[in-house]
Amino acid sequence: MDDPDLRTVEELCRLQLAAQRLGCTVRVCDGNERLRELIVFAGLDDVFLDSVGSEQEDA
Amino acid sequence: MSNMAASSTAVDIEALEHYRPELTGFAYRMLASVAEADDAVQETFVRAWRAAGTFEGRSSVRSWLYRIATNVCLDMLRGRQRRARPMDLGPSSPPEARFLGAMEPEHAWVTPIPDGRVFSSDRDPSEIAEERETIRLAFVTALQHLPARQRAVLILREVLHWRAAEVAELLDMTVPAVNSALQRARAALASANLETRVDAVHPDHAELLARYVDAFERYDIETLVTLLHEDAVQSMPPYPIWLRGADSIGRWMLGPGIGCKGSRLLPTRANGRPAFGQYRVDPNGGHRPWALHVLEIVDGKIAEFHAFLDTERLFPAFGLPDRLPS
Repeated sequence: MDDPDLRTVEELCRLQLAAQRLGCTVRVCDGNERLRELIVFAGLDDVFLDSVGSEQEDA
Repeated sequence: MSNMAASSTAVDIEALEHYRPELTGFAYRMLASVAEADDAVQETFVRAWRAAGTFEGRSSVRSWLYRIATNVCLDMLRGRQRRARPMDLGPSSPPEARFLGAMEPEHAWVTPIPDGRVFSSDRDPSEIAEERETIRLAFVTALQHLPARQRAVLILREVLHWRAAEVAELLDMTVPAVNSALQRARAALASANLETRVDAVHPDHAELLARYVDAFERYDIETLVTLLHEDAVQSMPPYPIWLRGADSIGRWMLGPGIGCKGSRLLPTRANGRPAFGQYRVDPNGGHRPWALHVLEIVDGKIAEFHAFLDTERLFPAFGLPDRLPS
C-alpha cells in the first residue's frame, strides 16, 4: 500500500462489498494520507472513513 | 530493456496516439488547465507503455487508458485547491479600476483549451456536439465541485464501469437512487450552474460574431453593449474581478478598459465556444497580444465574455501569432 491509486480504491470497494454481504464493514483507519485523499476525492469518505477528520464535501 | 521489448507486443503503443485528443479532453475536465492536461496525457502514455506487458485484454484499451489517466489526474489533484472562475469566488464588482484586485497565480483559475486539442475530426458529429457541451468552462468548474455522493457514483459507474446494482449495494442505495444520482451528476454538469441553456455553436451566430468583431474593433461600445444580455457577465482572469450587467461592462470598456481602443481580433475556438485573440495597439507599431476572449451565447446574445489575460501561455497554445504587423 505504498502507492495507492484508483485501483486500490476499487479493491477496497470490492472488499467492502464482500464484507457487507457478511454483515461487516471495512473502515480505513491508518494514517495513509494519500489513500484518504483518494477516497475523499472519489466521494467515498462516508463509505470508508470515520466522520471525525474526514473532509466533508457534500453540498 | 527486455520488459519494454516484451511490453510493446501486448499493446500497439503507436495506436495509443489515436486516443490523445479524447484523453486530453478528459484530463482537461479533471484539471481545468491545458498545460496540466498535456502533462497528464504524457504521463498516462508513459505509464501505459511501462505497463503494456501487464495489459491482459480483459477490458478495452480505451477503458484501460482511461483508468490510468484517472489515476494520473487524481495524483495531480491531490492536496491541491480546485481551480475556479472569478464568478465562483465572490460577488461582482463595480466597473472601476480600484476593484481590479491583485493578479492570482495561474493555478487558481480554470483556463481555456483550444478546440483542436480535444475534438478529433474522426469522431461522430453527435459525439462532438456532446463533447462541446462538456468542455465548457462552466462544466469543467462544476465537475470539480460536484457533491461527494454524485462524484462517487460517476466514478464507479463511468470510470470503473461498475454495474448499477453493485454501486447501489456498496453505497447502500437503491438502484433507482444510483441511476438518479448519476442523472443528477450529469445534469449538474450539463447545466453547470447556468440558469439558462447555452446555445450550441450555430451558423446563425456568425452574424452576431461579425457584429461583435466590428463593434469591438471600431470600439463602438454603444453598439457592442446591444449585443450583450442585460445581465451579461465579464471576467478577466488572472484578476479576481468580475462584472455583471451590459451597462457595467460598457462603462468598464470606456473607463479602465479604454486602452483596448484600436484593438484587432483574430477568431479561434476555445472550450467548444467562439473565441478571439485580442491584440492591442503597440506604440512601437503593429499590435501585440492582450487577451483571449471566450464567449457564451444564449438566445442569440452574448451572455458571458471572459478575457483571459495570460497571453504568454495562451496565444502559443492557440496558435495565435505573437504580434500583428502594421
